[in-house]
Amino acid sequence: MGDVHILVADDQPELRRLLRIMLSQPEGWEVIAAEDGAEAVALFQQHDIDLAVLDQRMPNLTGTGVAKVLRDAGFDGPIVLFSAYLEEDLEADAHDLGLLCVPKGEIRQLLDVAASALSSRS
Amino acid sequence: MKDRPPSIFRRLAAAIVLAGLIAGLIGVLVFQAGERRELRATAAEANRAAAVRAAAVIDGRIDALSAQLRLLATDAAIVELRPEARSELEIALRVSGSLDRLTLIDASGTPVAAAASSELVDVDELDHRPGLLREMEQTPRFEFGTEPLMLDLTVRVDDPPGTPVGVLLGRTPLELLVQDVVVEDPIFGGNVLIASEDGTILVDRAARQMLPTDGLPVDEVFADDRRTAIIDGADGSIIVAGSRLQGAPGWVVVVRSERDAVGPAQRAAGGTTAVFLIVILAILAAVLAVAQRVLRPLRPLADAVTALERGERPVRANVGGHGELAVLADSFDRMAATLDARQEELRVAEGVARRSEARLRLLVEGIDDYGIVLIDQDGAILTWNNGARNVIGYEPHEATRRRLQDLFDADDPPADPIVDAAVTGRAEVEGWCRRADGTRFYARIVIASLADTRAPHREASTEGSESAPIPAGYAAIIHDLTETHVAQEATERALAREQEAAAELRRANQLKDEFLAAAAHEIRTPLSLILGTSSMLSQDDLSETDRAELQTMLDVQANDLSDVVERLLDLTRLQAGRTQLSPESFALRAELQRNIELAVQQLNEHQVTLEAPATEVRTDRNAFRHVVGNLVSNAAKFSPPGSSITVRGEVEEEMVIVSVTDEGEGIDPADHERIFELFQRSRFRSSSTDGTGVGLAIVKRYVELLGGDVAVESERGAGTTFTVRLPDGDGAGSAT
Repeated sequence: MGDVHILVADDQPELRRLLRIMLSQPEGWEVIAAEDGAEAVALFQQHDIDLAVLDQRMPNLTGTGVAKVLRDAGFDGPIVLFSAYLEEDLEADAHDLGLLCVPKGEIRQLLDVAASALSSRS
Repeated sequence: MKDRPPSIFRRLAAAIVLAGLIAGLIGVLVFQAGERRELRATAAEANRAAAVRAAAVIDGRIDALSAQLRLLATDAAIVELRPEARSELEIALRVSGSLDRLTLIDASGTPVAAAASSELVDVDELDHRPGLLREMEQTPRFEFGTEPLMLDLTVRVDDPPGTPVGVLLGRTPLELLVQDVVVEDPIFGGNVLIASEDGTILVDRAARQMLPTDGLPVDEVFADDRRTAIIDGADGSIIVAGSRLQGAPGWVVVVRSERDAVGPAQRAAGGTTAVFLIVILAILAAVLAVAQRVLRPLRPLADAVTALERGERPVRANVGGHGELAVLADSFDRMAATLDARQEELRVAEGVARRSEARLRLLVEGIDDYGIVLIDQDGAILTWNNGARNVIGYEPHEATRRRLQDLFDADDPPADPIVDAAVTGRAEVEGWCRRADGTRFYARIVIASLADTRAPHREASTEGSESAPIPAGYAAIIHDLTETHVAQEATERALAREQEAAAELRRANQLKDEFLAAAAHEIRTPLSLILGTSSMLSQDDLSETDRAELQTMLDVQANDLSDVVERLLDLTRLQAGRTQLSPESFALRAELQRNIELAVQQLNEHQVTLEAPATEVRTDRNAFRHVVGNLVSNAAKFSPPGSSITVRGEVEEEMVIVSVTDEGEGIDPADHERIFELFQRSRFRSSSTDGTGVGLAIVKRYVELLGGDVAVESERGAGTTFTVRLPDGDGAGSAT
């Protein structure tokens, strides 16, 4: 299986921490965390990413903005949009960009979603 | 009543007949007169011819006598004047047959011898005629003697010839001269007579009776060359014609009565005339008959027309037959029948209309809760029924001739509805009006114009619109709709209230739903984080650092959740109106400080500055805490870590004014109102979690409850300041 690199972006520190902990549990998964959208993009360019988990509401660039950059850059791996609110325009963007949406209320599913997305890819 | 019209045709016919008759008569008379003249002339000519013939005959006889005497005068005995000549005379008398007497007279005038046919004559008794010889010429002389009617012939005796020696006198009775002179024409009749030069009748056959008693009017008869005349005789007109005798100084006159001369011819002409007259009469009769027949229908027709004019009904000419007049009479009959029918229809229609009008009047009078008013074309009231009196309050005599809008002053007089009605035919107005006694009522007035289609049309006022006839008047119906209107208004108001209440309810419902949804969400998020964290914690293979981090996170999230729930509960209490306010006095500065510390959870290295006096203020402490606490929390959450938050407080004019300023992203002015609504967030706020959607709503609610107000100053990228003003003192809490 090899190492799985997961890009996590969220402006809330607690959430970042939680995500990091949660997504580090599986064997070989490594979490790279960003504080905002811009950092997320920078980290993406620096690392080889297999999965991105993006909070929607972030300073500098929203989750969908980051997703768009990633897609334009040719990243076609799974991107999970992690947001408290799923507004309609988000759904459209999600569809266009091929994003998986997980509401923050169902954070426990995140791990399963990520795992299945990665396994279906490989 | 007029008499029958004069019968023109009858008069005309009579005139024609009369004219015809008169013409005929005149013609006949003229004809007859002409005929008579002709006949007379013819008869006169015939007479003359007869006279000429007779004269010729008598002249012949006279010539014969003359010749006889002359011959005798050459006899020797005569020449010698011997008394024996008597016998010669006697012989001569017998031979002549016409002579009556012969006398020989010598040169001295002494009669020598004499003979008479009917008597013996003594010579000595005869008259002497001295001088006679001297008078004599060679040619014989004739004279008419009157006693008796004789013709005296005197011949000179010459011996030798040219030497008179004596005179031979002969005498012949005129009767013998005219004897057997045939003038009597069996057809024409007539008589002959001989007259002397002066007209003395010497002999006439039967003619004398015919002549006028005073003899023959010689001048008249023999005046002209024609020697004819028509004179009045003893027994009628007589035609007289004469011819002078050659041999003797006298006339032969043929006399015929006109009756005899002209009569038969006249009778013949009379017959022709009669026939002529009969023919004329026949023609006239025929014409009359035909005209009568043809014009027969005329009299009844004229009578019928007159009767129709007089108004008699029904009238029919009832003429049969053919011909133009009969056709005319038929047409008349049909026309009269049509007229009768129309009149009947009219009568019926009039009856219907009268009854209808009576019913309408009854109806109008009977209606006493609707005003029915007739208005003339100038807008003045003509009739005013009981209903109008009841509804508007004026008696009919007060209302008539006034204008409708003058009678009740409308609160808001509309445009004159009569003008509207005149143009469009119908107008309706509604409004509050005043009765005669001053009371108000809600009236609905419908005005219809009554058009007279024969009336002159008004000019079309705008292009394209039809010109409308000027109305002959208007009818107005006035309803008193006060009760209905008031009820309607009440109903409308009630309905509006109901609708409003329903809308409120719906809004409230919606809000509640939104609230619940948002609340659920607000709760779910930290809850899921808690659950996620807790499930992580249940794993065994966590590192110690991880475990510690997770536990801290758990605490924080649990507190957040608790906080959210608390706020929600606060809000529900606030909204349910169950919050009791109790003013307390406290120091402003100290209280603010305490509230800032209470919000320490949210503060993230923010620099908080407090500027407030220590003045005593009085208000509900709990509310104050909620307000300030929420504002500070908001400021902390929505501004970057390390930025400064300034809390200011002051008391001014019995108001406590607290403001909280942050250096966050700011709020677009378009959202300044929205942010106070439940769970609304400024779109440009980047943070996604926590219950700030509730915070401002709570602030607003408490502020309202305290009777104050809250305002926000902010622009994008320029930070935010919330300013709250609360009444200072026991007046707080007067608002609900």
